[in-house]
Amino acid sequence: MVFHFLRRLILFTLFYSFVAAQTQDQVNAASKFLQKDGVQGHTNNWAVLVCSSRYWFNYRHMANTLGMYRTVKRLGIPDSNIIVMLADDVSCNARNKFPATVYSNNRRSIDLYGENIEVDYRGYEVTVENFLRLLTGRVDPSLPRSKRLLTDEKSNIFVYMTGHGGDEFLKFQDNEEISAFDIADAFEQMWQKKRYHEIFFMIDTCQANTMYSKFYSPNILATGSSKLGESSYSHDHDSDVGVAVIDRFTHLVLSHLEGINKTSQATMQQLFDAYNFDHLRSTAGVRTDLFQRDPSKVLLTDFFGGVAQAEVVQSDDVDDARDFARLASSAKPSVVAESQSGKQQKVSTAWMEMGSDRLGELGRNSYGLSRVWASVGLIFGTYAVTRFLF
Amino acid sequence: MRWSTTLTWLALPYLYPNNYINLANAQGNGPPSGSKAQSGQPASSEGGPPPRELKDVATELLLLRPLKDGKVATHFEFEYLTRNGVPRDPSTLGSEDEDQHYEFFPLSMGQILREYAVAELHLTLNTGRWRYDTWGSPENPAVASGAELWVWMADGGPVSVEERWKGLTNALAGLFCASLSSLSGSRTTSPLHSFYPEGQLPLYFETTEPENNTTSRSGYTLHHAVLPSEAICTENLTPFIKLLPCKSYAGVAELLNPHKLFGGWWYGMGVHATWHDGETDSIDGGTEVPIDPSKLGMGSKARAGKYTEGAHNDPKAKPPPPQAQVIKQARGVKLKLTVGAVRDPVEGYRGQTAETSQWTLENLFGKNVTKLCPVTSKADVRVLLPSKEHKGPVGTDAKAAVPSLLLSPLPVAKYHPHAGSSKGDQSWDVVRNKKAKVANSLTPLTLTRSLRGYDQTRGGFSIAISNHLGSDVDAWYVESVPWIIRPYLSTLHVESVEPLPSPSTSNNGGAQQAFTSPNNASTVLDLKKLRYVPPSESKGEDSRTKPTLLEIPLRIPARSVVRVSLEFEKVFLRYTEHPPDAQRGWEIPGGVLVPTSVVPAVQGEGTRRLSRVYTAPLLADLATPDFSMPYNVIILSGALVALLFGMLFNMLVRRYVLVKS
Repeated sequence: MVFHFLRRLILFTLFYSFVAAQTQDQVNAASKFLQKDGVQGHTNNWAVLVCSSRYWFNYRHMANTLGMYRTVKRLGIPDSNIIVMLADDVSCNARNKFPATVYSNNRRSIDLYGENIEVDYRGYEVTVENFLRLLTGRVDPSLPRSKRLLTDEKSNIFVYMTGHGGDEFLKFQDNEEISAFDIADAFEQMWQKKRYHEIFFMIDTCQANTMYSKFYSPNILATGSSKLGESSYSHDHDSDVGVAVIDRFTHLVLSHLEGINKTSQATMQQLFDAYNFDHLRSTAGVRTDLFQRDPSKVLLTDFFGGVAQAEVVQSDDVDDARDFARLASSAKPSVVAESQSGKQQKVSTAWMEMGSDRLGELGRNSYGLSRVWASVGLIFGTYAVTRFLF
Repeated sequence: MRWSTTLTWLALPYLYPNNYINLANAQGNGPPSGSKAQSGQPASSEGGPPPRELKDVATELLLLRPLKDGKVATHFEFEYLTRNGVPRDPSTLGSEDEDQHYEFFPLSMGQILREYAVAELHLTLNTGRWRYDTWGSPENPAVASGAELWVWMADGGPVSVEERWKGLTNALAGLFCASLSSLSGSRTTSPLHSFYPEGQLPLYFETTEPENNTTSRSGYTLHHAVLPSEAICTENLTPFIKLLPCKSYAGVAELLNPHKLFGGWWYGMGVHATWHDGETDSIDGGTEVPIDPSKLGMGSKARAGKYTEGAHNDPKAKPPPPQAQVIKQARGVKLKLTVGAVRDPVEGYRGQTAETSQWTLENLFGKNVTKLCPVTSKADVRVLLPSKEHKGPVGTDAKAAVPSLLLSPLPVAKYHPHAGSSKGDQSWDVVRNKKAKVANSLTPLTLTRSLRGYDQTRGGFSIAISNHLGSDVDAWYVESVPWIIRPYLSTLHVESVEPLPSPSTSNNGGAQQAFTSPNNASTVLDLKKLRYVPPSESKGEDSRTKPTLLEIPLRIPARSVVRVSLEFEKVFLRYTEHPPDAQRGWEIPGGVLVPTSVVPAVQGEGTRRLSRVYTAPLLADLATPDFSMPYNVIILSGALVALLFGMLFNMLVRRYVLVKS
């Protein structure tokens, strides 16, 4: 009995030291893998789409939001990672001549509502309090998963807001306002609590650029439809629906994104360059000083798409990687990665999976990472060795 | 857990029988479902020979009923029964739950039911007002406008019923994309007398009171909540369709087209989870007994021409649905998912009546049934036949009385009277090609409620209940009003009891004259049995959140109208208590009339309960302030303060001296 115990103990110690030695290299490789342009990349994408206007005549704000919903869903963000807040129900509204549809142009070519949609917050639930709670994660324990923003420090979040606003405020349901300071503080809290990796903030409202002027947290890229003192205008009017169906700024963004698919290499700068005063009749703004990367090197799919980044590893690295791939794939099925460069080489998908789950929970330091890898290896290794020997 | 269920899904029994059996046997190693306390656990999986019986039974039904005004009532019903399943004993809530293995029963609903130990659940989301006077009885009595949720839960566990209720509303809100979270608290009441379980409630512990006849309800509490302003749209139907085993790809679910359903005059969906012990039949149960046209003795006159009969002409094409009997008696947890819509087959064409309306499934739903969902053991499409001669015996369900055409099982071959039975085409349709008059289908009880008074402090309800039956009916009228309205119980009285002004009863209407005397009011309303739950005895914050519950026992005399009135006070709201669209008014949920009397069944076997009747919600106008007023006040008082302070400051600081020139 004692002999058995000792043998296990020795094996245990030996294995642990082996794993610990191996781990550091692999941690470095893993973090290198997640790097992009010298900055750590993201592993998951989220979208928060807010329409803060109530009433039928604000149909276009619902259409703005649903247009964004359709696009991010098309580009690969799953419904579980999209939080949609719609302050009113226009699709099944008694005034809607076309039941269960929302159209964003007067030709009615695209039905934004479709047959498969999930709206997470609707009607009276769209309040400033609920929005801030959603961002900061300070929610009731009984709140269902679909209404939570379950992001981590590897999450890229696309925040889109539309409604009626003014200088440093946005109205919610004609009843209350959210100020630019509220959102800035919420983002700071998210940063401190490691709830995001990068945020792309887009807002379509009057004097929209004032809304991002108070941000002070890192890694936020922001854009708005109009500068201080300017209004944002609607684009299409449908005589059958009876109201304006989309705003100019959102229309421009959506038309730009329409030509993009999951493998697109189009960058943020290309979108910003498409902003056009003659078309918008307002000065769309961009704020990049908080953002570490150059917008001309940021892919649109970094925020609008749920595209997993897969790096191609060299063939001599593959042997190292294989151990991890085996461990990881035994735990869960590996994802299908879309190779950005398109080269036909061995792609270690398992790393990504491990990274998305485990790296996010622990800190950014490599010490935490090594602990994780070590313990994973330890558990599997010990199990395998004891099964084999005893 | 999730994995094994997914695997079972993949292994559809009809497609891969061998795989299925292996999986099923592997699953059978788990502990038998049902609590240990249940002694009568039948050892169904004894021996386990390879042709193992399915654990779950799935059936689906589409009911089509032409209405008097030319519209068509459509009703989808998807039933999933997990055999021998028993609702979770709340005393086991602290410990780990047993494994859940379902075949067709939706896992996400099963998880919610077990997590909160729900014995019976009814959730409906409806839009519009059901017109009892022209459309007759609905296919499912739950037609309350907005969201209605009522749940039976047993007490006596580590987690309190209130906590479970809160968790349940949140979980359902997340599952069905509805704003049900606001139900808990401010909308919840617990009626004692009126609502009764539609299935049965398992007894988890021995009851010591032998005199208690209603043993099935001991230890149980009913939570009932209505949210009249809740809308229903595609985002609610999307998760609903995801609960179905074939989604909307096969079976009658193919017809679930949101663009058509939500264009209806009334539409709604429901989720009903009940438990049946199997030994005894439930009181009502709501189970559909398939009506065989031949057994009903439908004359050829009624049959020929009204609907072109196809498959059911051939006796071989109409096999006796064996699962129907099983479902009625099987023990287990049953989940019934319903979708209903009243559609106008010719949208936009005014002046259409039942005589002129012609429809097909194609123009009702914009889609066709192309294939059968392979896991369903029974898929029916039933059309209720209208008949000119049929007057509709008063006090009967249109569903039960009118002969129906059963198209069962769902034929894969095309069923089209014009094209004949061409086997090549896989799509399938029902065509109504003969004009026919639809009889006026009366409901036994009708109910209207209106709001009296136009001022912003006082108001009243006028409730008129008509009994079209030839016998007296005992019923509970349930009113659960939100806290913004405080009813005065002392003003509750029966205003009048009048005979119905019906031409058919005018000949022998003399018998009803006696009811007009106000002395009979005391026999109509029995105040001793009345139940009144005020929001709170104290004047605390509870009185501004909790609703008032009124359960009024009424005896409605035969063929007469009872008018009841009740006055109330409107609460003066604080600035922050107003909703964003305060000018629109506050929705007061509809009242419910729950009859307790039984009437003879149509088929002449036994008795049945009358189904409950809802009123439409009302919009109460409360005093709403000018919401910009606080800003005016701030600006004005700010100016005033500045003025006063400036003057005072000037007087104190400034020195007035003579300047020598």
